[in-house]
Amino acid sequence: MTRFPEIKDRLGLGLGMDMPWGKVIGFQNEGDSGRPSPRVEKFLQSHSQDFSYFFFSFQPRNRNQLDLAEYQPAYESLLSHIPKSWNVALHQTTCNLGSAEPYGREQVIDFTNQLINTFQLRWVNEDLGIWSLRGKSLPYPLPPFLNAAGLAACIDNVAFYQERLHAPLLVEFPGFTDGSNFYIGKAHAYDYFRAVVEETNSPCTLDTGHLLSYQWLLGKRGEEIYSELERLPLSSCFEIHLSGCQVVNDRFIDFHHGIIMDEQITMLEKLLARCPNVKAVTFEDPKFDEHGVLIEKSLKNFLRLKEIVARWKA
Amino acid sequence: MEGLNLSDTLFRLLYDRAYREKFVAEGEFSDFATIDRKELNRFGEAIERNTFTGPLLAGKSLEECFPQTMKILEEADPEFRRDFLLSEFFDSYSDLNHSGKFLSLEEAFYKFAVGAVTSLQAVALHEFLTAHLQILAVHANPAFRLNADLTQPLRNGYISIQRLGNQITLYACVTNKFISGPIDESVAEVLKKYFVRPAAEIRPEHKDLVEGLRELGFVPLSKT
Repeated sequence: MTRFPEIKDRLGLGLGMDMPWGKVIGFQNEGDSGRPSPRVEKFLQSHSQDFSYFFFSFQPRNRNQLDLAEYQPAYESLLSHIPKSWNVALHQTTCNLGSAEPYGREQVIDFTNQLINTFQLRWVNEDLGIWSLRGKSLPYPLPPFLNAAGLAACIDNVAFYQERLHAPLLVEFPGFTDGSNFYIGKAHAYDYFRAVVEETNSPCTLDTGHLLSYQWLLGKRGEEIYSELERLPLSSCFEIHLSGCQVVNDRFIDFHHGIIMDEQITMLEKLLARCPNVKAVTFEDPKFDEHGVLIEKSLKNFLRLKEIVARWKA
Repeated sequence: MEGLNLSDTLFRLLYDRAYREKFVAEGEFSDFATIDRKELNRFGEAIERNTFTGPLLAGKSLEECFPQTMKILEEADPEFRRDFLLSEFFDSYSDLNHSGKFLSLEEAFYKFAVGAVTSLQAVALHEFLTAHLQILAVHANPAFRLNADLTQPLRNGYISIQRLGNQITLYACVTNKFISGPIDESVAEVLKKYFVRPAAEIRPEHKDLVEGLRELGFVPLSKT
């Protein structure tokens, strides 16, 4: 049986934020402690009525060994700026679910479980990607090896984490862009992803930009870019992501710049109509100014997104 | 691709420029045939560039840490960057803080540099220890391996005392503070005698020096 997060009702629109350290949108160091940047604090204060749940992405703070004590004050500070009633989740970046080589995972599991238990995280999400090779981080996560050996490795990895994490792991369909738009292997990524999700009984996340980027890479344009959705594990989808994407010089780039494309909105509508168990739609990495106000260019489709999700939730 | 598994092949395509160029020119590696070669090149070049110029987490870039060493290596072999990525030292490095103890990128590069050009020893050692101790000053629990041959633990930090030619140089971090500079024989002796090792009582003729070092932030292991 699929290990869905224990959430009955549709959550509506959520907010997902990458929180790197030392950036204007992220955490700032304060001695041994830390807190969200003033810009993030203002945004969370002024936009809490727009959202109904929250996830933050893990980013390493420094070159120390993983230790909850280094992160806890900053995470507590971050979560103090959102309503207490919200569900909170974690976007992991260290599970390396697409890796086909042996690698140490115990520390990641221990640390993630500490976060889950400390902050009552309802689920953990990570892209099914290759985030590091031989202990070296890659500039962008690569899609997994799209062949039989790669599939077997992904299934093993996901099952390993699924068994050990104290909250359900949502496996996210990987991105096929961001300067890494090449892939290895001949399997269709939708079939491949469905196999991983079904074999491990995992809930999943479908990111509109990631799906579009894959079809774009296959040369699909126009209406065709929304084709083949039935090949995805639609009934296992718990969450849908939308982050700012753009086509530049005929390359589909998952910029995370806060400006959602019309095509992502269309993809969202198609997914909502086809995914019977989806509970959460996340606006990922909004961009806002020093007053915490969303950038002008992002407003049009953010308002559409809110409208569509409100209608779906009702 | 014979004998190589998926990860090894991908690693070589990304980190080994010559291997990548051969693949781009003529490669038909089964499943790897689907790779967009232009994008592969872009990705591989980004890795090489980031390795040298990308700021390390809470630190400087490799080029900022080793300006003189880089200059000398460049003169000796303009392709040294490629060779570093293929070296055993780079292979022993990891930037992940959850994967166990590996070499830091700075130490991997230092070891590569002195292996590549012997006359670099003094320059590379100075630049490495400066970087290493600066990083240790702000990392109480580093995920990377400490160089036990070159650095020694103090009660509240780390120290390295190096004799380069006629000069003795101190590199240290104590309570989040980096301290470096030439020292004379007596200071080196006092540091080793009372701060690195727990000695018997401090001798009267050393008391002033010990106090001076204590004011700088060093905590003696010896009885005072």
